[in-house]
Amino acid sequence: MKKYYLPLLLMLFSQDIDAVAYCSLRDPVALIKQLYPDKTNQLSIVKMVDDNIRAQVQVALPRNDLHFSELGRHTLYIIMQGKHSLGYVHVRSEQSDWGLVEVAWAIAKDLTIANFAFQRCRSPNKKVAEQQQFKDIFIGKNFQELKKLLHSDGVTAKNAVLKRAQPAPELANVMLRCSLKTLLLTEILWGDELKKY
Amino acid sequence: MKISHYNQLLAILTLLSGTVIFVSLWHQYQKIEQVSRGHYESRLLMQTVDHVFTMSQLWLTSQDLLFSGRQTYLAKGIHQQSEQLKKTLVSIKDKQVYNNSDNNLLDRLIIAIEQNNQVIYSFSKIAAQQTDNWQTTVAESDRLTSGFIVNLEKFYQQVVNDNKEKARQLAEVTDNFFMLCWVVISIYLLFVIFMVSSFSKYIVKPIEKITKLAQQEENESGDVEFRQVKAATEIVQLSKAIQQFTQHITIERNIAEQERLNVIKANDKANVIMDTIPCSIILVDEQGLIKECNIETEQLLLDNKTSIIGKRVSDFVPALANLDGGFDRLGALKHMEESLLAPSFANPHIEFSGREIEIKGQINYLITLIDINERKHSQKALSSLNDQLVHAEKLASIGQLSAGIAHEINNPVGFIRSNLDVLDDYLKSLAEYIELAKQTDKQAQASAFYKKEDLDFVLQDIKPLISSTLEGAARVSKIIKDLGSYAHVDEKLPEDILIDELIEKSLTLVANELKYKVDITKHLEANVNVSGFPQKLLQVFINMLVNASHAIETKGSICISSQLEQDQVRIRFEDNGSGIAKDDLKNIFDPFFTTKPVGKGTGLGLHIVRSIIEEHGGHIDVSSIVGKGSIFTIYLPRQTASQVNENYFEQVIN
Repeated sequence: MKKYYLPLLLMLFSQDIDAVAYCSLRDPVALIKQLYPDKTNQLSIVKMVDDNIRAQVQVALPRNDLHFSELGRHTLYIIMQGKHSLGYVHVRSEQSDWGLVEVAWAIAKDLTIANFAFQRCRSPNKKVAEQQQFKDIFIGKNFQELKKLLHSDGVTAKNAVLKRAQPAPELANVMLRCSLKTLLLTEILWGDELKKY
Repeated sequence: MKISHYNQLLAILTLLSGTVIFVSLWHQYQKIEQVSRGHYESRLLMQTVDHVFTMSQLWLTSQDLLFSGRQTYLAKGIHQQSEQLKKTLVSIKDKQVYNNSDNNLLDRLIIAIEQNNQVIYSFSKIAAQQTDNWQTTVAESDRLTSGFIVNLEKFYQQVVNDNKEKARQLAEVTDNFFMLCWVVISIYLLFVIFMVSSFSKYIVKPIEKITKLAQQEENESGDVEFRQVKAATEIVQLSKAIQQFTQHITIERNIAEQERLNVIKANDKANVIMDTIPCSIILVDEQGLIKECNIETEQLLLDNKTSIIGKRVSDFVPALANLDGGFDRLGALKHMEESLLAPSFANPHIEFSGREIEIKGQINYLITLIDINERKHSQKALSSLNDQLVHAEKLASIGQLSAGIAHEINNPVGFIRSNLDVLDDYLKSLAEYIELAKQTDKQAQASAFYKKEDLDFVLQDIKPLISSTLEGAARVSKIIKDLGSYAHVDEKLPEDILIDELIEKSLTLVANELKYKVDITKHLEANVNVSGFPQKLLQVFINMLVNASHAIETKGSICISSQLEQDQVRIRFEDNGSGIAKDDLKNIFDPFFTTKPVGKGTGLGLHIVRSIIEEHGGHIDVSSIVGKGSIFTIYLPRQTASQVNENYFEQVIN
């Protein structure tokens, strides 16, 4: 039940929210540097997540609806090394038992997960998730490959994934949902733009 | 051991075992209750902690939203959430006192909430500023909330572990409880089996064995061993008692069997007697219904037994019915009562006797009916014979008296003849004188003849001669009349008799028998009538006088007296003859008893005397002293003819 409280609460509080890009980096330079140590600079492309996009996400990920805080303007960072792009950074927040988990996703140019870093994660198992073994669950996988890791309920990861994510299986569920939304929105919103880089 | 001891032992053991079972189960149940309560509280705590998780999730998300968009209006709501969260944690802390959990964690959680509240407060102050200071505040909040989450997770883990421990304890005590139940039930079952087995071995089995022995068919010898050794004391005693009882029964049964055989024999004998007894025997109940009868009854009542049984006895013997038609119980108890059967019976004369007997507590009457028709016929014949005998005796006495009577007649006849001869001579003389006197010419001759024949004397003597002749004729006439009346058979009906006159008649008839040796003294003072049959009573008196005369050998006296004594007439014949021997006194009224020489007496005289007197309702006494004489006293009731007639008819009817 508790997973339904948050959307309800967000709906109540989001009526007067201006279209602010919540999923943004508070310290983009430092975090991007952490993900792409070789980067020289980054570009940012701001896109609007509206109801149309939300409907597309609902179709692609039926049980992973975008909440109101995820609507509005969102920024995708294109990480550059000189004139070459190294990849992209997409920051997304995913609700969890520990509040919003804010993850900065490093996305490869082939739209696979390259790495991730937490902007906020209050889980006691945050350190587990920061280990490579945990990260390897996601790194190198595109949207379809990650979607295969979803259980039939469309919300949690399959048991094999959860077993691999021990002792942080709940965090693995959060990260899987977050990664899927991130790759899906990246392609939907910025797919055309990214072909240039 | 006694059954009562078994029962006491069973009761005590049952009470003890029940108490032990109850106490142990209750104790274990209380443990379960206690642990279960702890487990329940632990689960409640888990739910509360879950709720704290949810609250903290909302709380943290609200903060994230505050930080993300710097939406300071959320601060107030976050503060309220913080207070609610803190309140919940404080309540948990208060409960934790009893659960011995780590209260430091709770304190740290509460402190983290309070510190975070301050951070939120400070953030709401600087959020609107165009500086990056808020990021520092956010970082501080993240640090605090991360620590909060870590501690909350730890606390949750503690609670989970505690809950698991409680669940384990609950499972353990539950298992222990069920184990105890099984153990107790097993012990109890073993106890029950032991007790049942003991009861069965020492109580039930011996009783079954005794019962089986009692139910089995008797063997030839009749000996059955009932005695039990391995059994409760009462059963052992009971089996011994049964053994003694059965032995006693066997003996008694043998006796009873012998008695039964005797009864059968007696019954057979009684049946034979009943069926051969020459009188009818009927058994009637209080209502007069015939319940049993013998074969003789069938012959008497001319019906078969089955038809007779069930009928009223009064249907056959009307005398046993009351006026209302009911059974005359008192009448049935009469003895040798002559009666008549119903008019439909050709031979109705019976004699019945009854006795009251009690059969199975009920009053019954055993009545015998004797067919007396033959006896009645015999009685009639005997009566006729008796009359003939009396008559014969009378004739015999007449025969005895005939010489005397002839003598008595002869005397007057003699002097009558003599007188008549004289009178004939007188008549011839008188006739001749009258013939002479008729002739006028022979007057002298007539006077001479008158004087010659002394006709004056003749005329004077004729009257005495005629008187004497008439007297003699009268004497003869009287004797003949008395003799005639004596010889005459009495009328069937009694008549009034002047008893003194009848005595005189008897004296007339026996006068010649008495006058030569007996002086007769008479005191006839009764002067009353006695109803009866004069010829029979005359026979009595003649017999008395003749016997007295015979008792006087040469010379004696007879005193005859009659006297009225109250309602009866006493007639006494007293002689001073030879008397009667004492041994003979008791036999003198028996028929054919006589002390006279053969040919002088019939031996029926006194027997007939007594029967005639009894026929008249009187009786006769005798007293005698040998050598001094005898006194015969006759008592005759002073009855009127009508009274005598009633008695006579009653006798005739009976």
